[in-house]
Amino acid sequence: MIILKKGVEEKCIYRVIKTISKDKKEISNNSIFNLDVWNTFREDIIKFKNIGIFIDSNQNFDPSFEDLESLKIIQINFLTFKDGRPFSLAKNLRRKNSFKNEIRASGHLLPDQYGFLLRCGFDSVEIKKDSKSLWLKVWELESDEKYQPF
Amino acid sequence: MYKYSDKDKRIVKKRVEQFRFQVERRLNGDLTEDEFKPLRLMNGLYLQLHAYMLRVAIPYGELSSKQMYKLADIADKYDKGYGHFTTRQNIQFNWPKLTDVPQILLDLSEVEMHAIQTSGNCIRNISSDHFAGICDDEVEDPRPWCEIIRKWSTFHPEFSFLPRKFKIAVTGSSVDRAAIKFHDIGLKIVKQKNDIGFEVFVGGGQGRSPYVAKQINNFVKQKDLLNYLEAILSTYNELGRRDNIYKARIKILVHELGIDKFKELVEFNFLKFKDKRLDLGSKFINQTKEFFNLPNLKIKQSSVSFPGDIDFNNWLMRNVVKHKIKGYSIVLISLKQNGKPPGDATSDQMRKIAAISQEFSFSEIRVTHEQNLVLPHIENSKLLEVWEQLKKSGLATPNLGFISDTICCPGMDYCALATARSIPISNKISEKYKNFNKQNDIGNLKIKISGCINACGHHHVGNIGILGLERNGRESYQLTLGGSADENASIGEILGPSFQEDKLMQAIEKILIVYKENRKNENEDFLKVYRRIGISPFKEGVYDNT
Repeated sequence: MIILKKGVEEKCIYRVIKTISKDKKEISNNSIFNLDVWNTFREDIIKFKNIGIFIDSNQNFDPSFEDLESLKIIQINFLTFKDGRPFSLAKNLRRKNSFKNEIRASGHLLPDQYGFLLRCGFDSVEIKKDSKSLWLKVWELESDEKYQPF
Repeated sequence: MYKYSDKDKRIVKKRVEQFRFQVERRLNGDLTEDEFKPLRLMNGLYLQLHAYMLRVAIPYGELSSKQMYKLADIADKYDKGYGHFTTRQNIQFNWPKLTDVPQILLDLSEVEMHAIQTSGNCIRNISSDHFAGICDDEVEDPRPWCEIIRKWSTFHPEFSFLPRKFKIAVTGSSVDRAAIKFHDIGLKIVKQKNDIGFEVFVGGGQGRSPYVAKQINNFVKQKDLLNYLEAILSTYNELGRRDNIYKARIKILVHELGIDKFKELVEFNFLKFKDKRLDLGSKFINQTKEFFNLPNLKIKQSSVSFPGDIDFNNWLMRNVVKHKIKGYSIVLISLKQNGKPPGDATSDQMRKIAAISQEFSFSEIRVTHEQNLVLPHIENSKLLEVWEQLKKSGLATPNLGFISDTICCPGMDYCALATARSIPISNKISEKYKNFNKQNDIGNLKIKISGCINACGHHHVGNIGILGLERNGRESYQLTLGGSADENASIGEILGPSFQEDKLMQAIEKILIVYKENRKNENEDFLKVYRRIGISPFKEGVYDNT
């Protein structure tokens, strides 16, 4: 998998952590924790640097100000490309919560959604390496002109 | 009429390129059918029972002669020589080939048309009053507002993957000809002191769970319209159900939360997080309004010439309506000719209508949500000539608002979802009641026919609604009475057990007997009688002697 950030390939510096063992050794810098782990181990996690949260598109995420202060990245995972909730979630994180750090999309996405993702406040997408040229080609076909001011 | 800006043209052309590439990816296997489906649907392309179906947008039902000529050419070149006008003021072609569709979209773009968002789980074509701007009962012409909403909703980044489709209708009149209370959002332009704004209704719809929309706000200022719509859509996108397609429309969310709670959530979004960039300034509003100025209609004493032809008189009585400018009339063209599928027009008929409009109606044509067409500005002295020309093409059926002016979905003849045929039922009704005097004696009566529970034929709001079902491998038809899509919106009540096709016409006849026996005078139409006496006498009249 690669990260595409505003059309440019980037290396992912994060590990996604979905379970925590008894010694909590998984909790470290440069990690993205899924929502359940975050909710359970929040106090341990926020002691580290470059940490993020991983949310599936069907999960409710109502972050506190303190949560957002400590997050370098929020990764929203589309369980299906048809689930449009993350578009509103990203917009709200930007507009309501004034979240300034990275918002990343992953999961089942279509290249045809790339423009919409960026316009709703996502910065990056996680995609398969061999699909990069297709994503870029579809993005090239994206109109520069929009009817909305965002 | 709205004219595309250069920006509109570029956006629509770009869309054609995008869709051409999507088709290419589907054909070479880069896209699965499941992935391609929402993309093609957002370009109006359905997979029907026999073939693909392309639904072309007619924004708020307004067409030029040039556009109508193009639709006729498309019908001939890529289809079987006809098109079907729909209940949301669009047109459908039933037989295009997938590989031809990008070219059809390119042909459409030459006349400022497209198929964008005529389908799919996004904001659909904005529909409106077919008498917008020409009737004398409106606060303001709704078309500029439809155009403002059309732009805002086109390729909206947040609202292109909603839980389900989303339909918005706008009226400027207290007489509701746009069925706003059966839309996801219905907007009514209202005046408060000297301010113009919108009364907003939300959560109306038909399908298997019909609801009349509820008022969510009695006055949203013009400047705030888009922010208010954003607040509703955003709330719906976040909270609308995605676990069950039949419970995914906003009407279910509004019903489950209750209108007060839903309103609280919307108002919170609206008041706290409105986006200043979406505020509508008066300069922009006025610029949009300029597109919709009436053509140069000179007030004149122009009277109708009466040749003493009874058919012409009947047509005048049923199909011609007063225009707000003295000396002009609005002509309704019935697409409910006896023996033809309701809403269908052949390419020859389309060309004829385009030509008549060019000569007599400033090249303007409208589509009604009841699947008829409108010539909006006909000088009274030209009515006879217009009628004569329409008559030659089978377009002067004098039945507007009569029992044979049915709304009807394509049913099992075309649709993969249908459980019964609907067009043959409509044809039987037209045939049985084709005599003008017979229909005139019955008076105003709206029959609406759906071939399945999805209710595309609007049976819930028919004064008599007919729902085609399948029972034990046979088609059967359930009747509802008392539905109405106007300002006094109501959902029809089920009369009783359904009927096999061979007993259906008899049942309708019995309903009409009960109505005629109970009406106080000729002015009391079917709906008024029904609302006065209720369903019981009809149940007795239909079921007691069978």
